Amino acid sequence: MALCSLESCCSLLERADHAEAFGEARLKYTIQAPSSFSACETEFLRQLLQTPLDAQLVIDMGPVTYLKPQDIMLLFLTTRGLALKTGYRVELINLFEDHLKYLERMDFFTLAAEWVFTRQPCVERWQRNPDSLSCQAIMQVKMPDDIALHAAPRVRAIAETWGEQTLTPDGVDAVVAVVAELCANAIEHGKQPGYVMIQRYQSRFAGTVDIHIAVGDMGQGIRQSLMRVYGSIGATDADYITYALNGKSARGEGNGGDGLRRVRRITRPTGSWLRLRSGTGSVRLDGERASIETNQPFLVGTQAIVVLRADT
Amino acid sequence: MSDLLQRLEMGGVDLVTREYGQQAYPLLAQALRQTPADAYLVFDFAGVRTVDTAFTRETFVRLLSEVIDGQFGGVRFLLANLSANALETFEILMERRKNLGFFLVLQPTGLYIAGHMEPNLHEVYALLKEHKEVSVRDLAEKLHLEINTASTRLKKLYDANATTRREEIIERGRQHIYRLLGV
Repeated sequence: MALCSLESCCSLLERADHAEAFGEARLKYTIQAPSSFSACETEFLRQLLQTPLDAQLVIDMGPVTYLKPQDIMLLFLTTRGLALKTGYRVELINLFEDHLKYLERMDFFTLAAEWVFTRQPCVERWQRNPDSLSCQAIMQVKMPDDIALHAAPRVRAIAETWGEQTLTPDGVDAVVAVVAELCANAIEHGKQPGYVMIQRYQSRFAGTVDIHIAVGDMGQGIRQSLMRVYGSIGATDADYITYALNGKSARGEGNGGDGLRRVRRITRPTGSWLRLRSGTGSVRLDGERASIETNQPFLVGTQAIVVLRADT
Repeated sequence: MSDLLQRLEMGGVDLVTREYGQQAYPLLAQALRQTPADAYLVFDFAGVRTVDTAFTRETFVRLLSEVIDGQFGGVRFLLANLSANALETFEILMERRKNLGFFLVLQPTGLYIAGHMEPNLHEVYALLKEHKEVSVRDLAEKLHLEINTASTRLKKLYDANATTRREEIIERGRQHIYRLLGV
């Protein structure tokens, strides 16, 4: 029996805390990862949804050409949902050495040990120099203290090490503000842990520096969150994402909804953009230009991707 | 406000999350209550880099609403030295709260309005910036307004947390003197 969707994982999440360790199935179901998760997200999710309920999913990472924070976040959260659905950990195979090292460096296998693994040994680890980083490994946020006392200061410390050639002080503030607002949404509305990671990318050819911020959670999603307060106000999940971006909040009028508007303001300058993915919808904002998709494979929870073009 | 970070045991330079805002609110409100009547308190944000929307909503938006409501008597407050990021946060919040008006912010470059001020108050505000304090009669004469109109406009700015007000005894009786915050 193939999976129809990844819905109703939330109830499984509660059982997962008390469940025995996932075992190994006799039946394995192998899919090929796309060359780019971001560019081929729809196809990847459709493949995932074909996983038989009694099979262990194996993802052949051979075709992957690069991994960005949004790709890792997608992999991180979707494999969790899959493992909860099937009861078996997801195995990653044929990872390029650099990708394996990168995932290890981002604490992917450490944080996701409950639901994903690889048999490939990581022979040589990238050195972690806390004083000179271009990225922040995946951080889990469950409570406000995780944001105020850990995520925000940590992200600030990293962004400041990039120096004024990458980010002005106002640029550092923008990165921190985006992380704080999105993480607050993840734990506020998701009621599940949120996860955040950031990475700096420098294009010598284009002479630009981009900061990629990925935040995800496996909560109820934006549609459910808003419907609890407003009822049925939209036809598609993308409609609800648009409402959220325009300030509608699960806390009701006047009590919230400003965080995403804040993030929109920060991503308004040229070269920056914001994408929200929840349920079957996604909305990407490049400045004021919106790209809306309404019929994508169902994604549990919410994922936010922000790319900030550094203001050098 | 850097002291506030310490008192909340937040460390760092960022005021974030609703929960910390809820913890901060009583401290800020107490500081306002301890301010002498008809004076104003300055919340100096020097040393603070970001303030997120949830924190701001639980603290300063709430305080502004309560000041406008008269819950702090004649005490007023002014924000000062906001970083560009923090200022944007206040502006974003006030975009959807036009009924609350605006925050007055004292920046190194001068006074700034974060939010919405009624168009007919701009002239009065400009005059107050120039003269620092005016009476109703002064305003009426300078802007060629009826006394009632001048009185209404000054009262509106006072109610909106933009001025203090003190009573002065004059030959003809008493009059209110309005002074713009931050000048």
